[in-house]
Amino acid sequence: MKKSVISFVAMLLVIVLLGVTVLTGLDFGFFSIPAITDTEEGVRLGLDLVGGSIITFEAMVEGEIDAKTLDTNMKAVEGMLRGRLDQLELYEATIYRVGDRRVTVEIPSITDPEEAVQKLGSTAKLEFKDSDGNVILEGKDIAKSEAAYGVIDSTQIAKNYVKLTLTSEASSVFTEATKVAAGKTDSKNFIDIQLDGKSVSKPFVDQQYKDKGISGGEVVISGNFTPESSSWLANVIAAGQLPFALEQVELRSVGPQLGMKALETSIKAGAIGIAMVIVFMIVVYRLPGVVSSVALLFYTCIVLIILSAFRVNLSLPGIAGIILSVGMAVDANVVIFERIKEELRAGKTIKAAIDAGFHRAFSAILDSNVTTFIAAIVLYFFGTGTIKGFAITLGLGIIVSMFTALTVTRFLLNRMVDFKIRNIKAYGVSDKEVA
Amino acid sequence: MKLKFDVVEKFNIFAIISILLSIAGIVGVLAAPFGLNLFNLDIDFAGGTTMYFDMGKKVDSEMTKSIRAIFKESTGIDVSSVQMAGEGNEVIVKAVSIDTQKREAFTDALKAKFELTDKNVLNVENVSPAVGKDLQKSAFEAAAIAAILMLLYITIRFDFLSGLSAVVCLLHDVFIMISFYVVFQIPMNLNFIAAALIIFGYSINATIITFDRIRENQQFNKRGNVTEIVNKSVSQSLTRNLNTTLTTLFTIVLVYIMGVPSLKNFSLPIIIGIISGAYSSIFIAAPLWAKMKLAKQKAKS
Repeated sequence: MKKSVISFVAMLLVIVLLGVTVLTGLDFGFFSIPAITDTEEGVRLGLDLVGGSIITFEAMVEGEIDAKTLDTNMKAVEGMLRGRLDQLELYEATIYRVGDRRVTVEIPSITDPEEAVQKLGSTAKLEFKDSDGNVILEGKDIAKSEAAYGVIDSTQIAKNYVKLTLTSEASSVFTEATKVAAGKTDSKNFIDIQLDGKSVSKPFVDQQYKDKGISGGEVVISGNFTPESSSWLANVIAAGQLPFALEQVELRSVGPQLGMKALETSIKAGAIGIAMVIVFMIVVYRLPGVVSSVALLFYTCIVLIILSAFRVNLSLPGIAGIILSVGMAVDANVVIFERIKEELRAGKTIKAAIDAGFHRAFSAILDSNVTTFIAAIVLYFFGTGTIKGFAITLGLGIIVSMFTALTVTRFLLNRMVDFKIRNIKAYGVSDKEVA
Repeated sequence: MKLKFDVVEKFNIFAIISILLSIAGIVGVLAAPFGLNLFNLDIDFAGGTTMYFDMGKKVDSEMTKSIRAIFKESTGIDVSSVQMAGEGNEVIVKAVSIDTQKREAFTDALKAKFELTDKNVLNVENVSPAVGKDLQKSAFEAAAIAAILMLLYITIRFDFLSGLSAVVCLLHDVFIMISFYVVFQIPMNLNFIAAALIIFGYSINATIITFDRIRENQQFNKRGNVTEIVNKSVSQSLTRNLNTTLTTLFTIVLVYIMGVPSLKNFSLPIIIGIISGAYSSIFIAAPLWAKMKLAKQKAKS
């Protein structure tokens, strides 16, 4: 009996501790759980909750284009968009590809989405200028731009570099320009490569080209490149000669006001919803209902902690998914309690009824949750954006709720038996019903 | 439960009710490939522009008239609709898909006329039709793959006929949701796709609980009459099915009542799906299984 009391109190303490962790966060040193309100370190709120814009651009490809060329061009688009976002000081923005010819940009807390659409989607202007600001080459003059790796000079050491191929008309212009540039002194022997008027690279023209210039239409830009930085520059230059225009095909922009309101009302709805479920469970199932309410609090805390610790991306459908999962979380309890009631009606003792109830309910709980889990996994792999977010909260809800029902609910119910609460009325069964 | 429960005998009635409830949805889906659109397609599928403003004061008919005029003047296009929203200070403007310059021209003109700032622009959405089509396709693929995997799992754990009945119930629930959209002409958007996928995962739960009961009762009573076993199992799992439906409805109905417009759009189809899921798991799943099982037994003998 004494042992039961201690373990019972310990369980309640664990739940209180979990609750405190949710509210204030917890730091283990090697692993920390941010508070649920901490959106800097913890749960990430979707743009529909904090406000912001989601803009999708599509490459308006005319005629046929092979998959590989398209892929290279789209990489160039991503690089270009990143550069433009940086120029607009929108460092928080994320860029990702959707399908083969669309790119989505997500920008949090932006107040003028139309400006972003116009600036991001405009045709890229690539210019090669000399130290006096005269334009030497433009985007149309570059036939090909690619990142490469290999030996390019007398050092015999392989390096990362960017290789440009010029059109034949541009080739002679470039030869002349490099001849002039190579002859300059005071570190003015550079060519400034600008995208949308902003310098992206300033390679120097080596003294050796003073007499003849760089001829043949092949240009090598070398330097302290990593594989990433060389392909970045190659992409940026390629962006200046994209064979298609970008068109905005989707814009979803949520003002911060609406986002806040959505978040507040869903939290309120969730809290009232949990309260109603608790009242319902206690009215219908009495003592086990109280037990399941405690288990529900445990469930809610665990889900919130996981969301926070693993920085899950939470959007509006995700929140709706969590609220829905609260209703589903008590399902396993309902299945078990109904079984226990049946066993009690058949005349079993409380202890035997609880054991049999759990035993018999197990296969139903397992099979029903596995089928729902299958749906969650498929949604995760096939869904996009918000559907993926929902799949995560749904899958999480299934695992945690099953675990809670089979351990916490069971543990607490058995303590009730230890405490000699053996009146079947407390379990929602009247004497008349017993066979 | 002293209630006499003969769901198997009355299956034909339930089947007819279900067909009546889902017929509009089935027709709607079948007609779509032939260019006949019975849905009220929202911008997600039809393409278009939706702008949501907080006007800072009560919206009256004079104001909506003025908004229409400003839209025409700044974009050269007629607005499709100007609706009041929220607590009366908000307005939703809908039109065909227009480009960023036109959107900006309209927003600027509106801001100037009603002395609004960026803060008053609650929400702007612009979608070209192709985007929705792609999502529709990937959602359909996801649903088909999920259904096949569920069918496989249920066939392994129960039997093929159980899997078949469960998947029929899933389709039933989704078609009833679609019917609801057709009959009441609710704007069909991406929220619906998310909601339908949720119901796909959720409503199978109740069906499995019933089949689990049948599986168990069959073990105790190997030579039992199929009809009796099914009737008994359905009645035994009835309380559980109703109670779980209720607890789930509590939370989602609250989201519907309290939520912002986008949450309302999302929770309404879920509510329909949950109710339909409760109905199908009680009146369709097990009786359908019994009918198929009996037909199979008859064919054998």
